[in-house]
Amino acid sequence: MFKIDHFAYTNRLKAVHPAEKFGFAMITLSLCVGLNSLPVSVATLTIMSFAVVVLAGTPWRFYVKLLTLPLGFLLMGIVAVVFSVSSVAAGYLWGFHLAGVYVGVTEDSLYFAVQLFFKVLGAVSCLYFLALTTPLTDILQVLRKLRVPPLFLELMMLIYRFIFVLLETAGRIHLSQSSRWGYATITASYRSLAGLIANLFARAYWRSQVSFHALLSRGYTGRLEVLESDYRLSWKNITVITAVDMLLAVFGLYGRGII
Amino acid sequence: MTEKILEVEDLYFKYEDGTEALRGITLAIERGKKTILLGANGAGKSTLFLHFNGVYRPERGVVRFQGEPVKYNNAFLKKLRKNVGIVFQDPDTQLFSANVFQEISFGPLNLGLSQEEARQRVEQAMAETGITHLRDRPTHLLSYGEKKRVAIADILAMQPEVIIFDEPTAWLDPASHRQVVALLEDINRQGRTLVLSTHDVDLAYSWADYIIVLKEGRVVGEGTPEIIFRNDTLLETAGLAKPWLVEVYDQLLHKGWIRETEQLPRSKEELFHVLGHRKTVSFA
Ligand SMILES: Nc1ncnc2c1ncn2[C@@H]1O[C@H](COP(=O)(O)OP(=O)(O)O)[C@@H](O)[C@H]1O
Ligand SMILES: [Mg+2]
Repeated sequence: MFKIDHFAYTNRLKAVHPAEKFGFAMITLSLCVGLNSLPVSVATLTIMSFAVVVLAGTPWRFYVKLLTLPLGFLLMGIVAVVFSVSSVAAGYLWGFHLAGVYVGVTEDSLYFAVQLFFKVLGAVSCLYFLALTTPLTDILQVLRKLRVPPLFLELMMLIYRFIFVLLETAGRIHLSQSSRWGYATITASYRSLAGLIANLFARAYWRSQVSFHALLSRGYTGRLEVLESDYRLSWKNITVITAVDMLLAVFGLYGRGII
Repeated sequence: MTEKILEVEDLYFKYEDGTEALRGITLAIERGKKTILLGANGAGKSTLFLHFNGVYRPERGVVRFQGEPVKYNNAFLKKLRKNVGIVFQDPDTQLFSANVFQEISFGPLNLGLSQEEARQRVEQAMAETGITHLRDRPTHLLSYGEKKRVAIADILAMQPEVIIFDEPTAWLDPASHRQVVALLEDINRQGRTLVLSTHDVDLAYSWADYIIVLKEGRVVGEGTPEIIFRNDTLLETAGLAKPWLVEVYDQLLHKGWIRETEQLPRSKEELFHVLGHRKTVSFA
């Protein structure tokens, strides 16, 4: 989490207007999910990976590691899709007989599984593109323009900020426990973990009070307003984004015989 | 000439759990001065500070700002908080925004300044605290010393008359310590009133114009650093050590290596100066 955030602030696309990146990620995501076509999904994955690694300069190892994160869930889902059950043995590429039914892999189920696999990875790559190129403050700025209610945005901002504070606090407690052999045995580990959680909540509560006082001291009256950063829209970027997404859309619709 | 910008009179305050944090405090802060509240942990320093800007409301007693008793309505509190800024002890509880620039802009925007004015205030505060290069950095990727400076910039951007620092040098490494103390000097030179809490007697001794000693929610002594640190009984009751400068000076005097000077040395350099005199005396 610290690392994703680090790249979001230091990548080569940091200076690009957040609305362009947000629009690009969201439109491409909708196309990938909505068109439901294997070529479009593969194209999405390729384009986004190119943008993340080549354009933004995220180390490819780190990006590949991120892509493998949802792989466990994904494969479980795929297994459920790839096997089909039938009373006749016809049409199976590979299968076996079990308790009176045939279980196996058909050409259709295999295609469907591959399609699902790439659709999910394609969609995930769109979100990673956004997360790895656009800091949260910039995303909030776009959402504010889209008239998302301020309360919701302020909550996002505070949660985001205090996740890190909480993580750091938890890290410190864990360190002080480990240095006193708090995690040396299983029993000790359970005891220490319970202590860590209880302590964390107590501190979080106390902290929230002090933070509230600090906000009041700076004239807080219920609105967390901050200055937004200046970004310039680039017509070149917008043209490229539109062209790429148009191509994807045409490609997908053509593949399904709609155009 | 001496104008009291903040005063509290016979202040009592109890927390919900029954802790009596303040038990009849009376004191005054002079405009343009560097005042230190000295006291051990739990003496009531932080609690008192939150009375200075009306976040806490006393159970008994009054708080006055520029001679006027604090009223707890929105208009008065707004004016009060514009003029009395507090830099909190732990920057992690103060910083709420995701990046430095936005963080500092919060105060100025609350003062009702225009975007343009607020932007200027932020730029100026960043320049004064030497953090302009951190402007787009996320707050959670800063070092502790950097966070501290952002916390100070937060308040500077609001340009208050009085700036209160709650234990500004706690947890800082020596380099950041020096930077923060130098920054405090700069801020005071602009004519702002500074109030600082600490239990660091060396800092209090060399930096303060005036010291107020707190213990268990009461004022147990006040005066110039010389008066405070020559008063052994006071130091004893408040559980405070002597500054090393005073300690060394007393030893040298006791051993007869130096003559008593009119004023106690307030810095390393002044002490060396006293020692220098001894040499010329003995060789003569
Ligand atoms: N939120 C709180 N609830 C209950 N007691 C508190 C709270 N904050 C501080 N105290 C108590 O009030 C007393 C004064 O605390 P504080 O003002 O923080 O002292 P200092 O800043 O000098 O260390 C202490 O006994 C402390 O334990
Ligand atoms: Mg305190």
